[in-house]
Amino acid sequence: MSDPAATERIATSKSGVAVLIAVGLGAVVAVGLGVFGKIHEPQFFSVSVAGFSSGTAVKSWLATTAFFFALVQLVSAFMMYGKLPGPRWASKLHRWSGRIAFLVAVPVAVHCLYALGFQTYETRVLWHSVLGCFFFGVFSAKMLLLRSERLPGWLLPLVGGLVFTVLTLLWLTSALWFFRTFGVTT
Amino acid sequence: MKIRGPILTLGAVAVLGVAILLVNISKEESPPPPGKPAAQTTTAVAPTTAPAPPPAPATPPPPAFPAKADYVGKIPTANGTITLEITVDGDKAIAYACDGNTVESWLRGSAVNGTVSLANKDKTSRLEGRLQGSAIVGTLSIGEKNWDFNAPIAQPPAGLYVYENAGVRNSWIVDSDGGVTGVQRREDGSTTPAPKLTTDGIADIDGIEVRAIRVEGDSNV
Repeated sequence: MSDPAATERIATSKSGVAVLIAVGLGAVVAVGLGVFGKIHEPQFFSVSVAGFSSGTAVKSWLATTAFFFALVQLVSAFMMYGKLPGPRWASKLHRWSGRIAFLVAVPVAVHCLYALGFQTYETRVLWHSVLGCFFFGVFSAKMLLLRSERLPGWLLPLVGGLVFTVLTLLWLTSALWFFRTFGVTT
Repeated sequence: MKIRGPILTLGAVAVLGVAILLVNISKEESPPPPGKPAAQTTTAVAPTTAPAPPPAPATPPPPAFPAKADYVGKIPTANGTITLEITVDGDKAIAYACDGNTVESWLRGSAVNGTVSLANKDKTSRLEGRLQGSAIVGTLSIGEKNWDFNAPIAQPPAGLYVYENAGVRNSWIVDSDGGVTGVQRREDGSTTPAPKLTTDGIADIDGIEVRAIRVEGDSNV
């Protein structure tokens, strides 16, 4: 009230700390997953879903589902920021499509890490491994950032965009590869 | 004041992930019966006891294949067991998969840096595998279907045998237990169970006793 500039400075440094914590925890998640994937001996099996020919087929479809909801995420985010015309429930749509996307992505990640592990024997596989760990790190960071107030306006769209981009790359290096190699099969 | 939604989401994701992981680990601790199916006969239509998922290999995967090696695995499917044999020789590999009845596929390709990448002539069947411990693990696809496989290394006489004459090709896989699975393909492309093959590679084809040829990774089959 007395000095608006001072208040702003304090708020900025506060949000700076929050951003650092969020990004730091995200990094811990990403590195932790990578280390687990590297150390854990791949088991080549994981609980699967009935009706599919293989665990990899299940994963491809779950990943495709996640990718679909990620597209919903992108569109609903544009609506929330007023870049696209959208309904009033756009933010609800964004929240819930995100949750569903994650619900289906988690079994995929567990199968990856448990059954296959962090592998580097091929460029596609290396990228997929790195991005997969990074993805869950960025996701964690974004969830934590959402709690902070007074973030710089560009930050959430940037992190959200990162989450979307990485998920897209993950899908391209896994499910799309699978469908192209083995055909669109269940 | 703080927004709790994202934390709940994060927590739910973590709980789900850990839950699936625990289910996996609990399944791991009840070890599957060791994959020692009884010796297979040439007609493998009756599904034998499926070799359960492999136990964790004790050693990290070395990045290179032995100069010459054979790998034999069984893939339980809805319509019986598919037996798969992969023969590696230098940087080349040949694989043969059959159900001992009418399904068979010959695949060939490269074996470098501990990975095999094979396909049949018209590219309708594919095999992608990599060395894991002393076994090859990967995916085999024949036509529209694909299966994950685990093929442990096998010592002779286990391996791949073939006898071809007058357009009739007989292919056999001898597994580590001495079981034989084979398919005969006639000139018109029809397939039937192959005649019996003894462990010393002798088969009786239409009344004539013949010696089957052992297939090596660089053979021209």
